[in-house]
Amino acid sequence: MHWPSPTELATPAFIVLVIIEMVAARYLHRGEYEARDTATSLMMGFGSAIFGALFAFVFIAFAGFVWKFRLATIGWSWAALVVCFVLDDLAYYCWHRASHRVRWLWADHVQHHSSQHYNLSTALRQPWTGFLTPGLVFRAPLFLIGFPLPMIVFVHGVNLVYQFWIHTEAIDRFPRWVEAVMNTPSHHRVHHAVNARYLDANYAGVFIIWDRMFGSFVAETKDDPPRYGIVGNLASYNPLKVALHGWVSLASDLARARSPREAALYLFAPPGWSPDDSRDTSDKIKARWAAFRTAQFPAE
Amino acid sequence: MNVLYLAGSLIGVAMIVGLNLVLFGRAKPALGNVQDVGARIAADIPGFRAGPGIVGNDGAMALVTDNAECTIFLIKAFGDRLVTRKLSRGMVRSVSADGSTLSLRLKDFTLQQARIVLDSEAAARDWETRLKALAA
Repeated sequence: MHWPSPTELATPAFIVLVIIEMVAARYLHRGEYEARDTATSLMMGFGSAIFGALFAFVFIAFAGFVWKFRLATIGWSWAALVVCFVLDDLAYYCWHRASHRVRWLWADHVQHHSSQHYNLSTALRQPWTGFLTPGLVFRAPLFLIGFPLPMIVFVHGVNLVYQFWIHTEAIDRFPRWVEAVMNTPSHHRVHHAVNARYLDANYAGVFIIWDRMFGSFVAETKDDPPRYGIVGNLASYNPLKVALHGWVSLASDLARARSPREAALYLFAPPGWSPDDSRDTSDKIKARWAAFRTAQFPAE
Repeated sequence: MNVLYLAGSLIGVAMIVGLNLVLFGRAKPALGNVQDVGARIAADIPGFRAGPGIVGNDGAMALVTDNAECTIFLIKAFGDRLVTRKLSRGMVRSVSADGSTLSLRLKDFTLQQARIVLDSEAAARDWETRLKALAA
């Protein structure tokens, strides 16, 4: 059976939707675009497609190896497709959460968060260096269960296509039942925000239920509009610098590690960890913000 | 993925960026005054209390002290947004004043140099002294 590539099929729609959103941002004032930021995001998407194709063999080799140890051999059926889609979304949640909490994975994923804008072009700001991380491990359970590789690739493609349209400020909220189950623009704005209250939240791909189940859900509030980007925002539009800055920073820290334990913590501890506690992790920022809020508004 | 797909993608990128320029123009950097800059930093850093500061003549870069922690923040206009750096010890490689121009070299992959043209040579010397204390 031939499985189409959802992302390749959706590319023309991506372009049309970016144009529609850009016009809406200009004339209806719903969202913001900046030309150099847009160019960087789109070139990151272009580069990501190239690096993805160049290093696809790593994914195929890994999948082929894990597949040998599968518990069952699952054939094509609609039920299998639906179950595979849901489990792939759970695997995505786990990978995404780890990508924000483990420096090694963050060195790659930070590229997607590096824009201070939040629009459909931001969705295309994809990392180039996934092959340098152990991110594939999160997909291993799907292979071990016995879902075929083409089915897993297909449902993951559908998942990524879904995530494209939620990168927008043009849509406010959906009816409550939609917001309760699905990842929406409102939920994902929170995920991209650097406001202390929003840090490390809403890791969902398609179903926000994972965040609600595992305690990482935070709702968007009108009195604290999201500000986007990363804690130390980049001062460059150069796609190569965007792709490498996380790795340069990690390599620099590893080079100055004074023991294997320190090196391991630089790799696996949350971004911002340092041996002398001189830097800020998201946990420290949130704790400081909470203490500040309590001092300012003791009644809350 | 084939060459046609890649070429089509690049043409799409060029079209979208061109449309972006037509619709929005090119963002002009403008930091406003020291109070404006302080307010922007305070939005990101709970407890930040802006002390003395200075905005470069072109409105593209500023230095603001944090009264709460006795540190200095560098703020750079970046497109239609801002980039902020806390100039903590070890972050500043070197600082020099040449006339009314203050030049900083930073340990930062995407912000390695900063050049701020101030109103007077005295102002540049004053901020050079403050920043050299951090670089030491």
